[in-house]
Amino acid sequence: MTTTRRFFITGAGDFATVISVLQSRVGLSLVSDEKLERHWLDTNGQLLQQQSMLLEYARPEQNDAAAALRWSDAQRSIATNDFVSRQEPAVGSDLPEDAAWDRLRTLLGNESLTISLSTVTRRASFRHLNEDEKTTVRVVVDESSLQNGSALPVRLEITELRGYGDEADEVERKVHQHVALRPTSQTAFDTAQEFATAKHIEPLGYRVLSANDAETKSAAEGWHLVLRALGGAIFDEVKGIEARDVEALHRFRVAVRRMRTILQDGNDVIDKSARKQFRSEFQWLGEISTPARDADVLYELVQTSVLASEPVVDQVHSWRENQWDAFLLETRLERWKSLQKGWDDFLTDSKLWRSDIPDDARKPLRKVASKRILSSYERLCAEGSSITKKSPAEDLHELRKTAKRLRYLLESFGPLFPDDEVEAISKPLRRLQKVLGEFQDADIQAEQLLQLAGAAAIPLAEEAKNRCAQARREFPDAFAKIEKRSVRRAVKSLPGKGRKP
Amino acid sequence: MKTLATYNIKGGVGKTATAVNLAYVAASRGDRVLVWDLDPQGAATFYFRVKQKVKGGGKALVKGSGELADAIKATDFDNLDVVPSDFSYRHFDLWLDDAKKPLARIRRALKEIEDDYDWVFLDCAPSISLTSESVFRAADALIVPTIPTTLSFRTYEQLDRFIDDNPDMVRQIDVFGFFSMVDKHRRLHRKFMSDFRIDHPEILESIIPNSSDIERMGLERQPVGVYGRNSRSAKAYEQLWLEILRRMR
Repeated sequence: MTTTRRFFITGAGDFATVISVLQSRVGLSLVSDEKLERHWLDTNGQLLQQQSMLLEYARPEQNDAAAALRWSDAQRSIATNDFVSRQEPAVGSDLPEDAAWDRLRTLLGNESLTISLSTVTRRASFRHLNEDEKTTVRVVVDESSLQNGSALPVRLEITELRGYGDEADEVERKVHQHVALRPTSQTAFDTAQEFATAKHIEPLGYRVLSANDAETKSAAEGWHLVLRALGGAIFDEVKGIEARDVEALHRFRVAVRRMRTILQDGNDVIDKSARKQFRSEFQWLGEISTPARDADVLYELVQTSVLASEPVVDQVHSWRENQWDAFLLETRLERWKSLQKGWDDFLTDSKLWRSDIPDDARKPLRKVASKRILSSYERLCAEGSSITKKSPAEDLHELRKTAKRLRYLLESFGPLFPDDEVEAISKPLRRLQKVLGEFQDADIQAEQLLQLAGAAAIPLAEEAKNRCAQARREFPDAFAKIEKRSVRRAVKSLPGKGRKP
Repeated sequence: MKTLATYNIKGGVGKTATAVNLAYVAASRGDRVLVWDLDPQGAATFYFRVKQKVKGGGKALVKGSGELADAIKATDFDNLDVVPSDFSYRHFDLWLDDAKKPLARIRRALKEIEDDYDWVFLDCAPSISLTSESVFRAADALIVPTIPTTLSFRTYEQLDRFIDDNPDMVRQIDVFGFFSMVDKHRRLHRKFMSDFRIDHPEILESIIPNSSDIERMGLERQPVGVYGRNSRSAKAYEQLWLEILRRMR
């Protein structure tokens, strides 16, 4: 008899890194790592689902490998068979001959089985063994996507075998130390079903505009739409943040930065005093969340790096917990609550959104948006050109912010313009951001590591410094690509080029 | 929940192998199964790779101050758990002797987990003692492996007589004797079996062969069906289980 603790992985690197960490850091033995097509089967009338049962059929990617069939209810696995045909069973008589399956055959009667849900899955199974080589805990990591390509959250399940609760607690503690997790009660089927039936939600609202809006909407209307979507994206993450979800915090911060950019570039479009007030409030959100995010990034680095010793990992872990505690304390302040309320009031206050008040508010959206993109681009070129080999790191950090500003404008207002032009600007911009991001992260990490763990962190800090130096060497080339004539031409063409609806 | 005890007064007849393998077969069929290793030697516990130690001590279970549910350990197989043996079980008779209503002790301990399992296998130590009597009271059936030798038959008949002579102590109980560790190439085994069936027609048809597959359990520390899925021995245990199911009251 077993109980399963279910989690979504919210941060730990890619699948291969997770596998490696679970083996090397948590001490689990890898049993299998396979790619498979997974189908949940049921009758047309969903006879099994009505009885809280699942019939899971998994066909490995390898052509010669047998498929597996598992029949379970909410409490336990009723029957499994790892050697079934690669053709999924369609009727009761296709089930294994084994007596274990007779009950299901009886239950199904003459009903046929059909595929109710499918995923493409990579699944790694582990077990924790004691000194007698007895399995005490089972762990499964599952990375799946629906057949339409929608990726599902990566899952990690810790199955505690009866009588081995202490061992499961220990495994869970160690996994938590190296992999960021968010608890969930959903089974793999529940998650897949939720994603299969949920409406597709546009990420962070930066695609709320469409080509039609270029001419039909005023700048005020366009800004209002984008701000509303970004506000939703920010406040939607609050629950995840309260559960210390690393990815929720990351999405929250990206949305906050986008918000700040759209507010910043909303001069003469948005009400002046409201713009000033909310720029300051969202800046505050960015500031209070920065230490926790920096800690998450550093923690992810140390937990997946072979250069990090256990004391360094522990040191960074406890530092990260402190940063999160401090951040969560801020979220309980009245200021946080009033911001949310004030923001809703701002969006719904028609007096503040009269398009005849600020200068640019009533102008066509395309015209105003393209002007803001152009000026952001020119600022980036000017700041970047002044950077030399001797410029301090702060200058590159500032340039990174300017590059982000341009990127967020393009993401928010890009749908108004032709894809080719937007991509001509976005491609070199992404490369530049990558180089600047690597430079800043490594620069900060080297310093933080030495401060936190002293001599024990020297190898890691050295490695971070090397990454920093490498990024600096790559900067001139990355920046030259942004300044190219073709990119400049694309930016300058935006005001005159509406995208064909 | 039905309780089955693998029992024989004589040792070395394959009681533990029977309990472990039948339990595995039943669990593979989707039933929820518990093996309670009552033998201080702890062979069933060893086969399942579980440590020979009862949480809270074996005595507490007998005295009623400890809960059986807390002592249960999962095996590596779905639907199959074990209550491990404890070396202190060598004092089982003494504990029972000290307890009130000693014959009801095992039955009472099992009562608390009756909703958790479909089958419980009690793997008993060889002997006839207060512990055995408590097992007889708790079990719905005794599964009695019997080697086709004179001494084995003698002990089978001793058991048979004991049950007949003690109708008050042993409540209504099925006795499923079967031939174990049979070498069909040996004329003597064949002769003993046919003679014995004349006197005891109730003995089961299924036969467990004397096989190296079963001996390997000690090395593999797993039921035969795990490492010898299609072996003659694994099939024999499946047949035995099906026959027991048919014969159960």
